[in-house]
Amino acid sequence: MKVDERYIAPRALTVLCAGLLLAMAPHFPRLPVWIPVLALVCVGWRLCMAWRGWPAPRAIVRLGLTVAAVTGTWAYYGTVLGREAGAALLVLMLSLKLLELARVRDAFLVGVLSFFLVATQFLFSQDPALAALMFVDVVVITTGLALLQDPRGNLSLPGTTRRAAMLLAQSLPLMAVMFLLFPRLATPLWGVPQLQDSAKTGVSDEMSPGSISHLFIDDSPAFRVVFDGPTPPVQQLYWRGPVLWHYDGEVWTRGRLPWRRGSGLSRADDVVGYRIALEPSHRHWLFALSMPMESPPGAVLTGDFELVRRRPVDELMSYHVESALSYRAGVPLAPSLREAALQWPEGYDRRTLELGRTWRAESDNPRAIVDRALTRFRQQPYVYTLNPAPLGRDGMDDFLFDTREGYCEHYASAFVLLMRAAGVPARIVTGYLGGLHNGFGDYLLVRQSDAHAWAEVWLEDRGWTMVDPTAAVAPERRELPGAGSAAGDARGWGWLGGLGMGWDALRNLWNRWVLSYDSERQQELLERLNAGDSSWRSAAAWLAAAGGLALALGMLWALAGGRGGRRDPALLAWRRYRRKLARHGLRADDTMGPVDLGRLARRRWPSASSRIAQITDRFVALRYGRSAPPGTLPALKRDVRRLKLREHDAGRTV
Amino acid sequence: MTRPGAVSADAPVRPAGRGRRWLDRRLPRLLPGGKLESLPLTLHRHRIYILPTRYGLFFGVLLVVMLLGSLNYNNNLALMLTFLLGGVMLVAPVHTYRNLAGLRADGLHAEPVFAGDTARFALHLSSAEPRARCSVMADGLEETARTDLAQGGRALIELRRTADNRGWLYAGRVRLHTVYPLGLFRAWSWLDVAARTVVYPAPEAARVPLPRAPGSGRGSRADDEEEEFTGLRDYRSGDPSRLIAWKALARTDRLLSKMFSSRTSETLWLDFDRLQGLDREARLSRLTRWVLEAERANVSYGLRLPGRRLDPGRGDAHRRECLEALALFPGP
Repeated sequence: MKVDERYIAPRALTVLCAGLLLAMAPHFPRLPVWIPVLALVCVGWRLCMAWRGWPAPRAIVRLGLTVAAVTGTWAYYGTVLGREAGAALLVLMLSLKLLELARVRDAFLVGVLSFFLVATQFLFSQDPALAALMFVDVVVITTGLALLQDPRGNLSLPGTTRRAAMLLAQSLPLMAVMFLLFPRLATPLWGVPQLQDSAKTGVSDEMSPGSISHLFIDDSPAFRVVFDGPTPPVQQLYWRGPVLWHYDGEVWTRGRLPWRRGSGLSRADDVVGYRIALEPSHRHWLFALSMPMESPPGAVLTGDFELVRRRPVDELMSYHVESALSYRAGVPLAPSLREAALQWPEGYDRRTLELGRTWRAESDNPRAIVDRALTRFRQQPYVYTLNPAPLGRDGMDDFLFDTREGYCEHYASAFVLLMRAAGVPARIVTGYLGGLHNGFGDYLLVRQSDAHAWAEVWLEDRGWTMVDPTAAVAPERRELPGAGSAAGDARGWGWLGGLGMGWDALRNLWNRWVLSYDSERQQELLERLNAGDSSWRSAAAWLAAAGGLALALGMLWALAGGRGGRRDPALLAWRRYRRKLARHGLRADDTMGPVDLGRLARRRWPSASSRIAQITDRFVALRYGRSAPPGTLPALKRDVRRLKLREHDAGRTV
Repeated sequence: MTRPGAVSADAPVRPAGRGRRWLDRRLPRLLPGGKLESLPLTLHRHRIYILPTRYGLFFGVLLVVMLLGSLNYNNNLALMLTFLLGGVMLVAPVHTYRNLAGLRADGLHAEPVFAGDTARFALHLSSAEPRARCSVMADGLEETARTDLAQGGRALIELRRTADNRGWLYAGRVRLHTVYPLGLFRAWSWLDVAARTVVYPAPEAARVPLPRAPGSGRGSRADDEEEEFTGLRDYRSGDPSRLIAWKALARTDRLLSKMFSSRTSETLWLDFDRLQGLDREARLSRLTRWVLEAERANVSYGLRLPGRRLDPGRGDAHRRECLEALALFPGP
């Protein structure tokens, strides 16, 4: 070992540097520009040291760079801990390590820590493309580590790459088994740091007309749904998110209602079950069809039938819910809630208030008032548009009486205000509407552009009742899912749409089997494997069984090849020759040597004598000689092929 | 360096206890001191051992850290990478093992050397299976050498060992090992081979004139041969007084001896017992030097040792025989 410890083959170093760069590259766009620059300079310098004999930077320079790197990271991030700063520091330290890399041990360290760097990428993104890159990374780094074991430079680069790829390919089944069966943690061992700076996406718990519009142009998936049974009609696909009670004249918020746990539905029919795979939103909301009946683990069901998760959804999560599509909820209505559902922004939107009061005076029936509002939207020239005219201070007055153009937020907001003015308790519900059915994966894709806001009014006999005023203006918004989105619906996409759906189906499979595979899914799998028994014991048993099988296969392979002669091409040709002789009646004992056999055969077939002699000589030269001249093997094969044994010869001589 | 001393003892053979016999049956060739084997022999699973290296242990620790981290963050891709590398960690030893299994040690030879020189044992390797092998290392006591074998190829590993003492030099235990492909595991196999080479006594450093034929004085010697004066050198104890260059002493105040060489067919007797005033090893040393000088001068010479007599002769075979006799001259 000592002899080689100091010598790092330049080729090995180059491949390791390539692996390191591949592992660092996905981090680069996130980092301040000086870090990638410094990293590239370090790699370049080290390669010049290896190939061109450049001197190593002096120790004082390296120390200075290290101090500068830590200080710079501190200055930029305000810390050296945490996800971003940690990744930046790891990139910097590995780059600087290259400059003082002098021993095989250091090179090994850089290679192995490159693996670690690859792992840190996944804290930022779990894109399938990154996963594909991961396999490339592992092959390159493994190749580098293998070349490190070859200071004499005898290994070929393609051969070593093949060896690394082979190692990887053999590890894949082991990886799959461990991935599926290794016990997962249902709760983290230690606190997972909050990811402060991740942009929150999706529906929020605040709404002001205009706030959702940025979502309409966002075609990224919000969640995907697989129904246990048939998919309900699209008119019922209202994915419920935050419920908003309080309007201050500009913004709808959840208000300051005391926390109420869900009290349950007094009637629940048309129950559907479904599984939702929710993309990370970094918010606490989970979505469900109105009305969810129970909360999935880790979340609570509020009195407004919202599902709230204790931890924000920072990673893809999957949950199963059951909803009642016909229900009676919120009966009776508590006085404090009635008051909150009739709240009015003092001093705003006087004309709207006036109109509602007039309706109230003309009719006592809340249903009639609801119908009247919807009729107004339907019959008067209200326009559904994603680019409405701007509104003034009394936004809802302007919208209802002047501009008359807007989208779901405007209609829901104006409708709820009208109801409240007319004395009908009402509130806003935000969430998503509809979804695209994906035929490839048989699931429903709900995108951010499906974000929607609608209203709920409280009726004496039915409790909270869903009303979608937008549907009165633009029924197609509901019937053609995605019509509100800038990208249009899937039907309009043509073959490109098909491609998009195929890709999304792949993403869904990826999400389902890779990203959202957690302790819950693992239990499901075990239940399926074990007909009900999902304890860790059975997981261990399966893991042991699979591991044992892998071990046995590995052992077989390891021990295989003991009888290597089988593959010797000369021996194969020789066996062909012997079979030929046997077919023509010369069956020789296995122990008979080639020379003796040749003598027998020549006596028997004098006409083939010279060829038999050649075969014998060539085989002896190949098998037993020190070194046979090149071309002997093909000549032997040719001779065996061309050997003709005539029967009449045999009759004559033997 | 210590002065060339006693003859090396034979390879140690210890009586085996019960525990040792059991261990040798279970884990053959794990411990030194087993029965010596003869080459060629093929490495197979009964004698190949494998354990993680320091690097392997470090890699394992890193994997545990990655495992805990990705489990905690419930990060499935990081977990996947961890398990992939875990798979590599499980597959790598099989590759390492296969790199060694089926390797055949065909022979281990070294040319004789003089004490103080370095003996070079050449270990001939070939592959019993048609499979290329990379970075196979062999180490003896002092250093490690490595080689690669192409598919079905042969290779030679040179193991150097300093020959301190005259006598037999045993190759000792040779460890064939490899950490290929990733350096995470080391597979090794011990060879306890009865390979040895003879180590001649170190020739005395200075040139000492060859002794005259027994019973012949300077005068009588001049009769039947020509002797050529070749030069002067520092006097050393044991030089006959007639060789002292008195004139030179008068001139330079230094005691010098005259040196002569002969180009004749005279027979020289190199006699252990006639070297008075020197201890055994010094005598052997001088005799070795004389054998070399005599051979160079193309003189026929014979060797007389207590209990052994080699008749005069010359040539490589004779030289070797004489040197071997000197090398294996019984020690104290």
